[in-house]
Amino acid sequence: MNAARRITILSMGLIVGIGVGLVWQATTGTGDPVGAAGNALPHDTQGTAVSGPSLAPAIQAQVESIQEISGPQFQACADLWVVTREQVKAETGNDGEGRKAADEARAACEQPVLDSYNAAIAEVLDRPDTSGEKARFEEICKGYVKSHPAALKAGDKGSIDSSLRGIQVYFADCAGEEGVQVAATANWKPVIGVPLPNQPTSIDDALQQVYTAWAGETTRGSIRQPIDPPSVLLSNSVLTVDFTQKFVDSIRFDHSGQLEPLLAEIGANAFQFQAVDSIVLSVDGDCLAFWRHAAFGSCETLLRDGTQ
Amino acid sequence: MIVRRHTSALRTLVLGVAIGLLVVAPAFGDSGGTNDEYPYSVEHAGISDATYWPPDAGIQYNGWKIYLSPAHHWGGYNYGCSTYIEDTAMVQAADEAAHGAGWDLRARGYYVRVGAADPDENVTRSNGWGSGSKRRHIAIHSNANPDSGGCTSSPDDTGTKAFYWSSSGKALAKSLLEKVGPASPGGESTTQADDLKKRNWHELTATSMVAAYLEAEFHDWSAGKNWLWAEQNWAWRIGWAVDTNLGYP
Repeated sequence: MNAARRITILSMGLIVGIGVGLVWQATTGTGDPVGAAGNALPHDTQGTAVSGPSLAPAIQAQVESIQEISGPQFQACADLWVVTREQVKAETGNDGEGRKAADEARAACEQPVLDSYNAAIAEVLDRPDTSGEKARFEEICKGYVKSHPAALKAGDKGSIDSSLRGIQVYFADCAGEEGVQVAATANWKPVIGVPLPNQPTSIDDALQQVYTAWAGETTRGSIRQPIDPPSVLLSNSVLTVDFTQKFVDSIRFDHSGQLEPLLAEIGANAFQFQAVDSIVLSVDGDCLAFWRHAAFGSCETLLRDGTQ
Repeated sequence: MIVRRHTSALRTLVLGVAIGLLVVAPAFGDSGGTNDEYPYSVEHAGISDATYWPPDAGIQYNGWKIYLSPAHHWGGYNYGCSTYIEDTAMVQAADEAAHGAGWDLRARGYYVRVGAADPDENVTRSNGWGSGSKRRHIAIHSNANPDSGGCTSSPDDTGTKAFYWSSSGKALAKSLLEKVGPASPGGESTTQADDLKKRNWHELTATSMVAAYLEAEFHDWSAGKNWLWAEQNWAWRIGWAVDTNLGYP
């Protein structure tokens, strides 16, 4: 019997073994069956109130239960990898051939397990959110951002985005999206603001330093991407930072951690000079994505941390 | 002769059934265990990288070095659903891919090093780890949608993605996408156009060896987060991708 045939038979046996075990598990009630798509899952929680920004705990538990039950099946496939590798290596005298056969056997072994639990999870997650809790949370969160600037500038409470710490921020030029404003407070001092390397001698000098700092920040970030500095304009006490056309991929903008240092820099120094009443951030395209990362994401973190 | 062959086949089949039954049995009455505790610190800059030398595990070295660079965000933790943190989860995934119980890179004969610093420093360390062409650098991350706000039940995008800069890097990234992608719960593009992209990111351009950047799955939807957390089930595929890309050295 050649190696390929032996592996095929071994895989078939493994799948049969797992199948028999799972049927036994399901029929004897000793565990939760891994349901295929459309199968009824235990602990049905449709309509249960959802709390928090994520899935309802009961649904979350279901999802995790499905994956936990799959763990031993994955382990079986990992064991198959070892057996196959040694078997084929012994037969061919080539470890590479052994690994190759083992990889293919393991992947073939895992696929029905993956299909099964991914389908089961999808079945759970695709249920409609009948509670409306998610929408309610979003409203609370948006309202929180708008109405609690004092809390937002409290740097010791949760992980609040530095871009919102007391800086009056307008998001402009966002198609179809209302601008979001967070009012500044007069006695606010930046919590995270990074001092400029040299004390500015004038507003222009401060802006130039901010500009330089920004250019430096663009060389940081786990996703380091050449980005032109934004154009910065001070007019009638409104500092406009125009990001339009500056980002190849705005999705990556917030992720790379480039917004926060810039705004902290601007916020710290512009307020020091008391020459800026507000900052207008002009972005091109998907404003919703932009502001939700900066504000909503932070709000969620804040609420999740229980520091509201 | 025929009888012997059938006996052999039957014996192999029974062995498979036995293994299957044995591994399913522990699930009875056992929740399977969740990994709620993170022994890993994100603040690992300045800490030496971990290295995994095949002969230490009785494995013959195949002559290749693989540097794994797990996600690190200067601005703080990168959260996903529930208590998921990309920075810690990807360290765990890299560890699993390097020397986990899933028979991974070291078991395949690779000399593996897991970066313990930020991406800039990891690139420096990777570049300084010997010379020659038998080296590879792989950044390991999890992904997020721009408008998810941390977690959503209806994500715009899901699944595995891989990035590259050089043509050799593209082959490695493609291999990662093709091996990890089918296991992740999210969907991948059938044309790969959306999932395999050229990017001039630092870890892809500043590395002196062939490099690829893996976004294993999105962490801002529950199924993705759960899958990412179970790195013992999927991280072996990084080794599979490397082996496939290099022709099983």
